[in-house]
Amino acid sequence: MARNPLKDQLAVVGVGSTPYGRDLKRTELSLALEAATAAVEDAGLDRQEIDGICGTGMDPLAMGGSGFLTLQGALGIEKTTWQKNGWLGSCFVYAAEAVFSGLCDTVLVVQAYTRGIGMSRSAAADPFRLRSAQLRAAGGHTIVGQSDPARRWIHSGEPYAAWMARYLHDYGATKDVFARIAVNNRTHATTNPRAAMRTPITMEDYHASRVIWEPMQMLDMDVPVDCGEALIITTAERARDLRHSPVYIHAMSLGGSRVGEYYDNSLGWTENALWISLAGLRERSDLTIDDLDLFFPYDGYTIDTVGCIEAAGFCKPGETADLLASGWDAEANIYRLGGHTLVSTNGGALSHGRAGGFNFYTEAVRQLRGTEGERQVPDARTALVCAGASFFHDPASVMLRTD
Amino acid sequence: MTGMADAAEVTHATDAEVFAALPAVLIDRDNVEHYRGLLARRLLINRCAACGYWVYPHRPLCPKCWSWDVVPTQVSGDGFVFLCTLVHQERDPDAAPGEPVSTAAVELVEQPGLRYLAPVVNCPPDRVRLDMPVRLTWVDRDGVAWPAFQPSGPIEGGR
Amino acid sequence: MDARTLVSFDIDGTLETGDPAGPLRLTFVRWAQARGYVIGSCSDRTLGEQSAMWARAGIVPDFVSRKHELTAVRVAWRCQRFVHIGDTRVDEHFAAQADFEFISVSDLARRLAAIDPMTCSQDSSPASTGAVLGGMDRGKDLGQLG
Repeated sequence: MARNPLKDQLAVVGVGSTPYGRDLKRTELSLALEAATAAVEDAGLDRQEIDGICGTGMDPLAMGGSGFLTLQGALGIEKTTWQKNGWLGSCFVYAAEAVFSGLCDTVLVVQAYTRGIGMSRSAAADPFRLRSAQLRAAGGHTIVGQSDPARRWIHSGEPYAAWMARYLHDYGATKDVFARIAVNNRTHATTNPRAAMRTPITMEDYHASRVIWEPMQMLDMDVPVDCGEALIITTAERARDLRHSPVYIHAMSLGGSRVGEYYDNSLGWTENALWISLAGLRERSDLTIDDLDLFFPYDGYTIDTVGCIEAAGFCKPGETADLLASGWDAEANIYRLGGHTLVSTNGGALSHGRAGGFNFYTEAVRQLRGTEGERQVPDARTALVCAGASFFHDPASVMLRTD
Repeated sequence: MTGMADAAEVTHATDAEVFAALPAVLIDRDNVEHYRGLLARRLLINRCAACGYWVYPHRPLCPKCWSWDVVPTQVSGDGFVFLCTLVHQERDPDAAPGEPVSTAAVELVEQPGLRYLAPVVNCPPDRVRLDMPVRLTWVDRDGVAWPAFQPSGPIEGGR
Repeated sequence: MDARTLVSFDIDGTLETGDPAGPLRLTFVRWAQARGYVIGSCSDRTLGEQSAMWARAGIVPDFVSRKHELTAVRVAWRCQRFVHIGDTRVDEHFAAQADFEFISVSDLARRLAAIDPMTCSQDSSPASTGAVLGGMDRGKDLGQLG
């Protein structure tokens, strides 16, 4: 086992989410502020108790958008002792470590996303989105060398398509493994009022969907949306005095490999960053996958979910197809892992919408609190979140539990 | 750091000519020799002079032995297709959809895991196979010859 | 040969019921259907999603198609003209591939708005839209719009 001094010492005490939509006609900041205020109100905190902020973005000094510089002023929070921007799943980990280290006591994490012009043809025709992208590019975001064919896989989705082909080739699986993931997530999204895509789909729909990066099809890909998510992390001690039953951070781990940003140099299927992250979590967690009620594997592409399932240890490499087939509930159009673990109950990025996986955290917290009414999973007490679980950069694995 | 003299022998293009020929590429002091090589139709990959390790992407330090003595060195151009996707729709919204283009991470024979990303040409896109042996060739794009790979053995039939 | 014209509508970014909502109101679709056009949708949405959209609108389409399967629509319907209305280069690509005329929805909306600003507004009535588009019909059919 690895050291895990933060075990159950921190808790999520507030969550806030906006609706998800492909064109909400709002700024990223507006969505961020809606989620942030909702999270503070949900926690029952005075906003001046917030003394740390993690905003949205990869650039520590990003201007505009919903970075911490903008958020603190916009939210009227007078004093903070810790600030950072982050993205995808790893920002949750940064915020938690800030509280654990004592750099702040109560941290607000805000993630807002808008459908980028590179994500959608119709978004590219929207003059507001275009202008925002142009100006932000001028603000320091590097446009990588896309004009060199050898560099097109820098932070690209295409290698995930290539890995789908490699996976099918090496393990003899059929694309039904990806179809089941798409159908499962859509089925769960039909009951999620925030989800962007709520009409049920079938395996046939998956197979008939348009090919984008062969063998990847449209229904392998997540849905770019406008959305906002926020949550608040504080100490377990403080959490016990607050409104909701605390959801504790039991263990967490990031993952990094030597691949860097050139994804063509990715290591073997079981050697990339995702496996490192989940191995790191296993070494720190008293809970195992046998204890899991809920699992939130990343699903930016369906192949991410296959990787998460195998890296988490639900089956051996290459065996996900059999696992999902044997765990398939044809009546409900979902699968369960190990006979009981429900997966992506919010619909995931594939159907709830693309929030870098941050919506996995807020969904997990709500389910573990037991507040979800008709869509509540009975007696859900443990959840494993793999948010933003890229094969290559800062995949986060976080084990959450209740008392 | 050292070794630049060796690289300079492969071409006569000056820095200014390299920048002018490749106006949209992020060229820096760690990769300029690679691009100078491309203009002379030579595929150069940094190689550590101390331990022999091939260093790609282009970085100035050998990640194996921490030697700074990495030398742009021509590769044989032989390899096999390790990863490949057929791009039916480019992410760039301004790009017109057209015939699918293969994009392959070709593992070069010089070293396990040493891969170069390029299209596979002179082969029907639906007949590109994983592990297929390929050899370096060059394709024109925007007036510049770029590396590409073509099958070095017989092409298998349709799927 | 059927003398009718078939009009295929993209959904997201084209029709008002799309996500994102497009500039074209369903009154236009209803008008076209009433005029005897063969109408339907062609989208990256699943067939089930497309059917659900039409059912919510109370319109019975003649066909629904996946975006990359427009050629099958052309084979199934023996019409004189085939038109696809959409908002992206992907629409344009698949229209060309299936030998459909492509009409950009933004161009169409601009032309409709030039005839009567009400046509593309939220409160334009089916009657006024029909009247305006009926006026267009002097030019026989949608060809005047494209």
